[in-house]
Amino acid sequence: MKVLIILQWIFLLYMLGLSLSYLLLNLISIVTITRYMRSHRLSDFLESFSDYELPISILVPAYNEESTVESTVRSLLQLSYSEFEVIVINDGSRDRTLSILQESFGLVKVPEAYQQRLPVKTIRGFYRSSYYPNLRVIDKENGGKSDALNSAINTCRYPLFCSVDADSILQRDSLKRVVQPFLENPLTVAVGGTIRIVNGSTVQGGFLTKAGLPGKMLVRFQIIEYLRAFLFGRLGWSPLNAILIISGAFGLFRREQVIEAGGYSTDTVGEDMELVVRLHRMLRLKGQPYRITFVPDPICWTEAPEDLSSLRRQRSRWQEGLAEALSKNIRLLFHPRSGTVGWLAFPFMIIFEWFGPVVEVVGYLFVLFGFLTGLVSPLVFVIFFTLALGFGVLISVVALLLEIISYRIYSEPRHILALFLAGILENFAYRQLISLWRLEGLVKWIKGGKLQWGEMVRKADWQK
Amino acid sequence: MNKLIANPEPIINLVVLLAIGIITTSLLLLLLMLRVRLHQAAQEDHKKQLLCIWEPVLAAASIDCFALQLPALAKKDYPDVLILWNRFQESLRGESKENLIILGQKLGIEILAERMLSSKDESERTIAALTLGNIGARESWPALEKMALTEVGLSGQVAARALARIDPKAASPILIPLFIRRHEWPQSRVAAILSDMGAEVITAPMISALLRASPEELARFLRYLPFAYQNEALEALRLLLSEHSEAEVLTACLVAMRNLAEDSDIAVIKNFLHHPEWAVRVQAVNTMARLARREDLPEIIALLSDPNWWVRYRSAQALAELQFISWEQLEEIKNQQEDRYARDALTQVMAEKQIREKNR
Repeated sequence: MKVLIILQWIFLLYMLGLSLSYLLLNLISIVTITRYMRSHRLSDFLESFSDYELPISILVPAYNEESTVESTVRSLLQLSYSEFEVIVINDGSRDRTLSILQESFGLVKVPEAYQQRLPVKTIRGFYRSSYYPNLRVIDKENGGKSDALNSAINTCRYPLFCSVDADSILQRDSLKRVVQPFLENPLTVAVGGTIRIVNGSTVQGGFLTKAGLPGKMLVRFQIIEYLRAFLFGRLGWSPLNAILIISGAFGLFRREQVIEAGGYSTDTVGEDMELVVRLHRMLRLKGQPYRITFVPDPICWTEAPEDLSSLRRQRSRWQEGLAEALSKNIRLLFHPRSGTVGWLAFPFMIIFEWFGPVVEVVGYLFVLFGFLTGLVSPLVFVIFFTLALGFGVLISVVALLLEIISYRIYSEPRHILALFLAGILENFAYRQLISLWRLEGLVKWIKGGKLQWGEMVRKADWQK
Repeated sequence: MNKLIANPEPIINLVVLLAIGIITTSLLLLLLMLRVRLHQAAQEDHKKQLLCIWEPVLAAASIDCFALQLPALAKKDYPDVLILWNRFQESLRGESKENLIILGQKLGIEILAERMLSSKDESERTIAALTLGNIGARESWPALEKMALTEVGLSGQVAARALARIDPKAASPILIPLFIRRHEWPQSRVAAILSDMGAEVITAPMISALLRASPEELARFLRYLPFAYQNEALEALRLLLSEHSEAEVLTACLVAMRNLAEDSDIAVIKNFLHHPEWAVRVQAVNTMARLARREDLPEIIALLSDPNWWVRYRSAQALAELQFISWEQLEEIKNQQEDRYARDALTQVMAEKQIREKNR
């Protein structure tokens, strides 16, 4: 009985701590986004001399991307930015990815002497486009996404590189927006941007022309999750210089610092998060001043899974990646020089994200079991679920409010009502299911397994 | 109830209250969202109407501002019209700009902007500085100068540009030392202001500031030297190269010298081909790509075997760019290299050159 009482208190305290932390992050985000929106409303009045913008290498790792690679590369080549190159890395695809690139962009095989600063798998060849001087393709043996990115980091020409997923859809001005923190603060080493869900929207010529809401409730739930994750999850940590995740779908990094940190880790599934945490660890422990920032503008759109099995694989994989990223950099936790990262963000991630699924799943099962066996009274049962679900709803609604006061992508009242409804409904079964899949990811992490590219069933029916 | 919690009543009461509070807050937030959205929609509609009225007025005023009947303007609409007026100002040149200034005076824009300059809201101060700069309001100089010198963000940058627009000559000795100090200001924006001010005004204060700057400041500020008069800039660079030994300063000087250096500078630049820092060697070889003569070739060819990849690559590029070296000669140089890295660098650069020439 004593154990049960202790467990009950743990669940209640955990729930309260999580909700209060999220609400605090929300408050920080509201202040940050309001300031950001005000200052950036006028920034386009000051003209810029494009020769002084920092040139960027865009790295696009591709594995079996024959259906999307051509349109992705075409849209990347049309980005509005003064100087950039696109490097596609064909990571030993088994489909026609390379031949499609060869045919579409007139690739010519060229010898390339490069400096191998990061160890990578064998490179079969380098190609250059005869039509676009700023397009190069690396053909290499399959080694995973990290290995593909590292091989491009070895050969890229510019001081900043931007990692982009082969199915990411960018805004025409994405680079201009995401590079701003580098121009405004020379200490910036990495910048992440807001990722939005493209399902339900219209894409033409590789660019989003009209944002819309998807019909499927499963995708709407994910929209709410993304709003929560980006509009306050990351924005809230940004002023504290304690962002631990920059999505692999779109992130801008200073090349030298990434090489110094050892590049992307090839033995983790969450290479994007692991790199950011490692950069924090390296720079904090060295006592080197730096900034890792977040740009709240919606600059990258990605397709969300529409079926449960793809979603399950994705979430399980994300959790595995998170566990790896945190465990590999555990030295950062409460290190005297680790500042807000080691003393705030890292413990938060450990308690609420790493162990979160365990506490949540066990908590739900415990209360349910207790209720069924009579150990937990109906009143306590109702209170527990009301609180758990109520806070969930509240946090989703605040994220939606942030969206409305800032970017208004979903601006029509019917969209707001639909998302509000999704914000309520996702707390019943969906959230619990996600916790279960995340727990599955944790189990996989404990067991350890073979690294593979994350595969997802792509519908891409928004593409015209 | 007594099964799990010894004294549950106060806790349960608290939790029930909390739950009711959460549900009520969520519903209130929904109402707030809808209200905010409706308010935003109404504001957007009003703004569209305002633009429909004022855009033609400003367009007409830029041609002839005297015969114009001005529509009524409510106090709350001033900031939007001010922004629109500034947008027109930024896109126009010559007489049209003057006409808009006269229209601005009729509207009392200057008085409004002066008032806004002391606002606590940074965005209001920014609009005010922008407007005063575009009007050319000399009376606001002290306030704008203070703003430029003390405010680090966008408002400070806008104030600096306003000073540059009002009187570039007077602004130059204030702004150039300020630009050297403000390393957090985006270089692309500082460059745009300097380019706007013109070489005539910035050359002397820029060079005198450069000669007094610390090595760290120099390395950063030398990037703007191309906006100064070429002869004076080149003289300053020669002086800096002879007086400084810090790698970062030498690198920046050599970058700035790339398009300015003359044949008489070859001897000095060649010395840096052997500098212990690779970044200096790279820039030296880049500069040599434009100036090198036949007798300089052995030193450039020797760099094909440099331990640093960038030096090897840039040396190969320098050789490929030299007009007096034919394709066959490049092949010959490549075949003569015993070092594999030297051959690789040339092979790559020659392949790149081939693709470029094929596409021409």
